[in-house]
Amino acid sequence: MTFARLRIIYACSAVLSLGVVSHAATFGTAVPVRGTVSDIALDESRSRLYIANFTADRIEVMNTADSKFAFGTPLLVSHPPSSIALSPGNHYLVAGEYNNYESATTKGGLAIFNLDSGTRKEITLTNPVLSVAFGSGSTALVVTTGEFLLLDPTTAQTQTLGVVTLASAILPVPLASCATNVASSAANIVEASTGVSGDQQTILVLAQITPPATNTCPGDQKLAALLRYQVGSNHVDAFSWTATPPLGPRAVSVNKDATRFVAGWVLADSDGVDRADFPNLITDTPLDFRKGGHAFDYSRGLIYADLPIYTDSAKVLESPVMHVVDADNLTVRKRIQLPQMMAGRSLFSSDMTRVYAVSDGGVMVLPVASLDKTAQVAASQEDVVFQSDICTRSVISQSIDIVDPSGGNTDFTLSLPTGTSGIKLSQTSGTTPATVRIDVDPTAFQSNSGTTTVALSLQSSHAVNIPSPVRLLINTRELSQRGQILNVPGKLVDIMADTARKRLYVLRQDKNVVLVYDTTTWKQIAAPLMRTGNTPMSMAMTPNQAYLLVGNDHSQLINVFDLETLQPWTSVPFIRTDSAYPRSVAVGQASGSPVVWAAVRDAAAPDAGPRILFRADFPAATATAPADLGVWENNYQGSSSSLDFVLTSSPSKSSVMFATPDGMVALWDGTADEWVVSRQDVKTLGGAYGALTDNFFVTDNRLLDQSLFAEAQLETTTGISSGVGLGASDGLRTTTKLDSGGATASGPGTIERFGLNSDDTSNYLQAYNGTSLIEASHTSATLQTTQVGQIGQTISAFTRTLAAPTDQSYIALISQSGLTILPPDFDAATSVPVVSSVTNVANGSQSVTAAGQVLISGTSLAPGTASTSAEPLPTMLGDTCVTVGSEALPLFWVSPTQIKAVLPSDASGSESLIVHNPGGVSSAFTFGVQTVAPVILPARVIRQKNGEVVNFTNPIHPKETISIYMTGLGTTVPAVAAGEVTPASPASLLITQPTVTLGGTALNVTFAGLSPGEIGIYRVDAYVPWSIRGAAQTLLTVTQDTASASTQVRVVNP
Amino acid sequence: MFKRLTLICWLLAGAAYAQNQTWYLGVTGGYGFAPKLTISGLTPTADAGLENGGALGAYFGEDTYKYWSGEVRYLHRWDDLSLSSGGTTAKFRGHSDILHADFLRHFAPRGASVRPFIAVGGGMRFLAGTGTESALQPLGDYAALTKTRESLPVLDAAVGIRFKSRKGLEVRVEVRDYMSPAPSKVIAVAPGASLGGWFNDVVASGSIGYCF
Repeated sequence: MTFARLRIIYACSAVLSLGVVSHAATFGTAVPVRGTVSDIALDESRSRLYIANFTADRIEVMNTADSKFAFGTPLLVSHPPSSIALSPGNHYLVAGEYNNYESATTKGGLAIFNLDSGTRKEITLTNPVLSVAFGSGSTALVVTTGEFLLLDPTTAQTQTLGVVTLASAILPVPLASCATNVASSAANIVEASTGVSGDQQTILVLAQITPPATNTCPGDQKLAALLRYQVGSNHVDAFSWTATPPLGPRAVSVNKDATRFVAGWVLADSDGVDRADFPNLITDTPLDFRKGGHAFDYSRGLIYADLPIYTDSAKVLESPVMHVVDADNLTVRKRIQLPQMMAGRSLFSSDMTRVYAVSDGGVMVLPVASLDKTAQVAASQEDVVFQSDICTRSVISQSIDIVDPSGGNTDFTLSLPTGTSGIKLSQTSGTTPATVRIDVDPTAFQSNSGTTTVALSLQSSHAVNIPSPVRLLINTRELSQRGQILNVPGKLVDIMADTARKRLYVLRQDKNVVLVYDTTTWKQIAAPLMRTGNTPMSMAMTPNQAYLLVGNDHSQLINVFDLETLQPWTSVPFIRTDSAYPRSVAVGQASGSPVVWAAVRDAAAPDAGPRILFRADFPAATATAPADLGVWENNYQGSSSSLDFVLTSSPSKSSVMFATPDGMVALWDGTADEWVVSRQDVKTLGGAYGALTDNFFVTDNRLLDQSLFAEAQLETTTGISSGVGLGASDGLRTTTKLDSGGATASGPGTIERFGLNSDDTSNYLQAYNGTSLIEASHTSATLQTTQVGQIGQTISAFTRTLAAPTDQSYIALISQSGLTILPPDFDAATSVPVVSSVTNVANGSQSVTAAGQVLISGTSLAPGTASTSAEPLPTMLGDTCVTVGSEALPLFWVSPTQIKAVLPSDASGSESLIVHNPGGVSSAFTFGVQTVAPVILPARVIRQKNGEVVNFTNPIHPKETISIYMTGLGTTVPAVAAGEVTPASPASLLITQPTVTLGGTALNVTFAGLSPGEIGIYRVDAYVPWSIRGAAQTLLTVTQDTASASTQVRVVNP
Repeated sequence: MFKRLTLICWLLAGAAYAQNQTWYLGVTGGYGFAPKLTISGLTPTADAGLENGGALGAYFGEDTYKYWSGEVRYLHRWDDLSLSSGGTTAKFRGHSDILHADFLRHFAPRGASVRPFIAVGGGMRFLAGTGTESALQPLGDYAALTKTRESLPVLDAAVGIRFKSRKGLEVRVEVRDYMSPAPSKVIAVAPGASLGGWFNDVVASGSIGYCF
């Protein structure tokens, strides 16, 4: 019994461009087999792995203890063994025989080995055997090209379950078939494979449907069937799949209860929903089914997959790499180098510690349980940001840790692209763990006036993983450039503001996740992560703002998240879009109900052309392609390269705009619940898209009215449009100029307003107040980067990179370093700053010291308020920087009236301070710097015994050490640069040690220096003797040179 | 009824044997009840003091005279510190060691098997806070419960009954009130607050001793 349930076409012209890197170490052991392996079976009770040698008509027997063929002669069969299986209890080994010669009268057979008695039976069958498998029962499922059979190995009797029409190659086949030189491997001849669930209750068989046209070429590999056999009920059903590229490898990996399985390159569930599929695969046909395999590690929630991809446009096949991916959406966690490519069936040992995999040279033994203990290297950060500013162009230093996650000492080398100048590494090779200092000379990048991205490559000869490079982001802004960078690693493809919850949702495509930021603190909300399908592309929010929907390019579903819990909605975790990939989603509203529209990449294109739109009546949770879109057909007649559609809804959700790269735009009207406008006035579209109001829409540089007529063309001199949004009363737009290659930004980009109010005749429908950004916002071109392995990347020609909440509290952009945050009044006129005082932060006095924290007071000191928790502190914050002499001060926070900063460590005597911001440059403010000016910080005397502050209820006791945190104690050795976090080692100690008295009794000072982990704060540790006198209140005094600081404390004795 | 008669007979039988015995020692155990004192000077007021808790001790005495005897006693009292106000309570582990001497006036002659008595005496109470101090102790604006030791004078008065057996065994039940001034170190009141008066720590106990 077969029926078509799911039909998939994957039309992909992925061009992979990953540099080929030579790595020495590989994971696991390859065991060569003289012949072509078609299947394996594991007999743990006898420590044997049976290996079906298709071309040698025998079954090799490998000792799993030492991976050697040491059990005497192999088991011989009469014809090529296409598949083997072990009965429960390992009493019988059954081999399916493939004798599909045209002249053969019996094309198939079964060899039954009684492993207990050492005897063998053989029966013949009319059709060649494609697959044999045992579940938990005593009978084996046998799949031939003509029927399903049940085999009782004790009697060698078969029973027919049903008939089927499956295909396989006719023997003999050419040494290399067809013009594409696909090797005629067993996998390509048999074209079938079996997977059994962990509970042994379900058997899945993936097989070919369409027979080959001749015996020299494979048939239409796109057509495949997935047969599901329930062991207990003897029930068989089938999915008929059409897939491009073909479902290769012909392998099936199943989880414990068959609710998830990977067939070929598709991760599906028991309902046949394509939960995720592997991106970047070879699309050439006929496909070599020998290349690729996977194993479902349901005990760890992982899948180990090695699938064929090209590393570059020259079609060089990637070296064997096992991608360790999450079992829910195929997010790549690690890439592990293998000695050979996986090539079909994989089996786990019963304790899930080892994988035995058919490889393209025999079999491989992969001890996956010890993978985390195997040498690997990784950098502690994905990105390192270097921010220079107009006040200083001095060398900026940052550090990264190179570690082996297994805890070992593994070699590594670091390298920069050839010809890179202005970046210096403290070491280019070493052994983990290591901290590498990166010094960047911003003058080498100054001409960019924005952010330059440099890839720092990490390699190792002993690590088994392929480490990811580190992105060095070097920003050299000018004073006129606005915004604050919030580093967010990864490929960010969509952004959406949630005004009510003060959140920003950012779609990170390479990790298949929605990142959530608290817009009051700009910190990422830690948990839970909103995990999407594979290769998410767009987000949409329901009219009641209760749910967030995410469309995916490698999953046939729209994720639905509950925004209160940030979890998949329990009622409808996703909307299935069978046979279509919902790349762009938008939610409109008709008759008070939400209407979900999805612009899809159709996998089941009818003859009239691929469908373009699916509609779901949320929360019905199913989506279908309507037959028509009002008076228009719901299909696409353009070129396949233009199947890159986007949707966006208006703020009131009363309309949804649809746009295509070849210039078509259409409008759905919620009042009529119809598509009411469709027009194609230009031949190409791309760049920013959005709906500003119910009456104004933007695609590219075109400002469209409610009939989608282009009322105005926005300026193009500042570059390609990137993002668009609605400000308080005007439109907002970002643009980016590209370099001559068209792939990277050539400058910092621009944000500008355009008028939407017809009363403002000077600006109506015109761009104005263009302002340079701190770095360029992303365009479709700049988002295109080298694809890595099976990490998804689908970048639309249209971009949505700007988010502005309705309360106008900020503007957020997707930009080169992640996000750029702007105040809503980014273009407000600013005044020249005026400084009125410089005081000590600790006590408000004018006694300030070198490297001390100071409070600068005045007017117009900064355009707005900004603070940072970055380490080290930035020297430019909120578009403001401060200099003393020629040095820029590290800044904690800035506001129009006050700035908290750190003085240079070499400041002394009379110094001049100047504040720079977009309003201008202040006059020099002269102030005195003292050698020492000790101040005990409020509530910062700590008992080391309990780590708590000394106070009335936590008094000082004898025979314990107290830590006194202070400022203004003077010079330390080694010095720590102002604004940098004091390292724990080496300790930065005071040259002159202070004295400490408690109630007149001198205490022994055990440490006096800068406090590790803090910026510009000193710590003095003192031991309290047993003889100290108790007192309800007594003076604790620290004296440095002739200056001292005191505080009242309570002392108890005993 | 049968059991009670048997006990009385056993005690009377032992009385004759004890006629010439002048020294005794024993161990005691009981439970103490300590009403709180009020911390004044702040609004609202707070209560501070010792928690109710168990007590174990020992005593040694001389029973030379017909109606008078004297003894020295030691008692370990588990008395956590407590501070409460407005529904908030702070507690702190603590204990006391009490060492004192008492005069006993009996109302039956030496040698009698049942001897009611009253006692008065005095000594020292060594109060110790043993908990974990915290800068965030609740009600810290009233007082600090402190990990330290403090010696306090103690006066005591008791009433009880001694039961002697012929073989020198003695069973005793009594109620004793230990009176001491409020501590100032273990419970240190905050500036502006005051903790005055005397603590009455009433310990009901039972003892078993041996006369020789």
